[in-house]
Amino acid sequence: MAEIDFSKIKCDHEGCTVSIDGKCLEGLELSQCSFHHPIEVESASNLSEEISPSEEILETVFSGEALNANECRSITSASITNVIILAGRAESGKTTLISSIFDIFQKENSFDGYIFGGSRSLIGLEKRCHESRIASERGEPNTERTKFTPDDPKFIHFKLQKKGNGALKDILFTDISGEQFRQISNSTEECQKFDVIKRADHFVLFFDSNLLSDFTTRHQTKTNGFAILRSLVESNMLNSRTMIQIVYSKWDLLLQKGEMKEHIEFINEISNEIRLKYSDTIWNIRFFEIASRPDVTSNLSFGYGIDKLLPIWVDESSLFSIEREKSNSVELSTSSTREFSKYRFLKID
Amino acid sequence: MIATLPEWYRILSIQNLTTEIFETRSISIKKILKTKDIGWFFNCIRLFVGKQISDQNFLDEMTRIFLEEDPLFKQKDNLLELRVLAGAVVNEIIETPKHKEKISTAIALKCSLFGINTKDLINTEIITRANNFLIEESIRQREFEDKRTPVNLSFEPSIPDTNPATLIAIFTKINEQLHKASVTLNEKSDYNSRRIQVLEEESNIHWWIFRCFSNVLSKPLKDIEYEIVPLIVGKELNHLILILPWPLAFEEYLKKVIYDSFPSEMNKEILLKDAINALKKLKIDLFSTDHTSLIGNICPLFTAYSLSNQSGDETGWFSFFEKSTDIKPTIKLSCIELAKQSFFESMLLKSLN
Repeated sequence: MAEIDFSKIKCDHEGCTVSIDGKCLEGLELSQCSFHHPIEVESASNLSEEISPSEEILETVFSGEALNANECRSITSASITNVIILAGRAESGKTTLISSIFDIFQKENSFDGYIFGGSRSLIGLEKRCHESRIASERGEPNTERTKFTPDDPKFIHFKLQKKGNGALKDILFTDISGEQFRQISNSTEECQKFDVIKRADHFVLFFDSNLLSDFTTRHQTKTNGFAILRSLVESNMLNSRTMIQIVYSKWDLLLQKGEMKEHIEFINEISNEIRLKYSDTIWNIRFFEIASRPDVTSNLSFGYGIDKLLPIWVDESSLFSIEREKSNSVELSTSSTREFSKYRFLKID
Repeated sequence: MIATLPEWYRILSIQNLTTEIFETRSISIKKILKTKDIGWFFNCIRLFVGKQISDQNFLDEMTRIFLEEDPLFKQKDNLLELRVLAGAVVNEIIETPKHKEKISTAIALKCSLFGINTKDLINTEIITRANNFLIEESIRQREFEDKRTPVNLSFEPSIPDTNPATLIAIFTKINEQLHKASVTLNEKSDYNSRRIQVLEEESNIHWWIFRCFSNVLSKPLKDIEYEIVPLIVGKELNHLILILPWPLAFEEYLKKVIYDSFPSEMNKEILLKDAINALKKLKIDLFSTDHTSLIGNICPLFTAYSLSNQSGDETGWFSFFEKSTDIKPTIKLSCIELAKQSFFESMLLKSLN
């Protein structure tokens, strides 16, 4: 016989302990006593009626897709978040980089001293990774081209935990289409609409090494990359404190080419030219080679080069360096004339 | 609208927020300044620098205040936004002319930074502004225009006649002159009192530095255990300050007096726990105050000293201290850092009294 949960029975007869031990005060069976009745479970609609409008807490529920700017506020309002802008022409490897970071964390317990602590855009990440997986039934791994949505930039969220001290850090990658960057490189006005750059902790400019190592495309590729940089600097969207990383993507494809030495020389020239042109206006430019998803025939490991970038993105912030510079440079409007206030201790060795 | 609020909000938002949002925030901040007390402002300081707040209702209360002006104000996952707003409140107190809690708030902010990893601070411009306010106020309080001018009064050389109208006119003029004299003499009296106060303060500090003698322990500083000296000199210099905030070169006076007593040991670092435990053995009440619950972890030295007195042994206070201040008792400090913190905390207690 199934056990009865007496706590779900109520008796209107004062002193009756049926809800505790199942024994009716009148000595009747549970089904016979007219004072017994089951306790009603409050319906959800009743509960909601009891909450006054002023007590309602509006909460953002994430769909799991890539985040819009408004959804990002829920993350940036809660804790210090690093924002990383990935910039470059179409198919230069921006989205593949993000997917590769996600793939690495799925395969490894930790990567580069960090543990994956979650993401508000897991579905967005999965969608970006899908075409690189066997489940997509593609012959070769691929990354779907990012859709062009000029007025609605999307963000991919990672929460990473540093091994050792357990500190959690949120980072947001922009996932902006190459077409939008083409518009930016052609127009200062388009540049200035790109508010998010002003908030960026890191600006990452991609150069496709595969195109740079092709004599027919390398000059155009170089020009396109420089155009983005020039446009953003001239429109003051990038300032002296913005941390910039120049990333030569698809490095595995360059290494497989003949005349590799010549291609690397060309790339070094690009790096030197950037340093020369922008050392006065931008103080923190660094250069990296990566192969987010190297070819199977390549000797490079999956996510080659990302291990050098990730700590920079997580631990460094241009926003904080701007704050500290400003805080150190606030000038005083007065100075003391009293000799007593001018005393300075000099240690005599 | 508070002009710097959009800049401070940069850390929070991917895109620019509307002016309306900043205006509602500004209204709420000004309301806080008018209606809340020093205890609330100290909690704002704690929130801003990332220290623990013992009042569990504080964050909810703060959220409610901003919600009144902006119904869309985030009620959950809003800790960083509240930190930014807490900083804005602190800044607004310091920037508001004649706000009665300006000096205490600025000093409390300085005290609260002890042991904090500067990488964890946001909107550090606010801290710089507080420092600059203390410097400018110190200068303003101690600078004087030369007011050694005679009191100019004019009187009739003689009374021409005893006509009532004439007499009324003369006495009216005498009244005016006496009033003018009274005002001028009061101003000069205030000026002279302030000048004497400044000179007295400077003279006392001079002699204190010269003597290298502890008034608290009644012995030369060089005869006191090195670990305790920074705490003692910070406190004793505080006793000599007559005008808030402190003189500009206070740190130099501390360096001088420590060097003159311990020339070879001045660069030696001190463990916080050693300093506090050594002080406890002396059984002197260095940090007594009626404002224990108010200052709490804003004054870590005070907290450490109080806890060590309550604890039966030398290590019993460690875990609770670390939990409430996020500072390890084994933190190593230079003697001047310790002396400065002792000085700041003593100055805060003085300002509250």
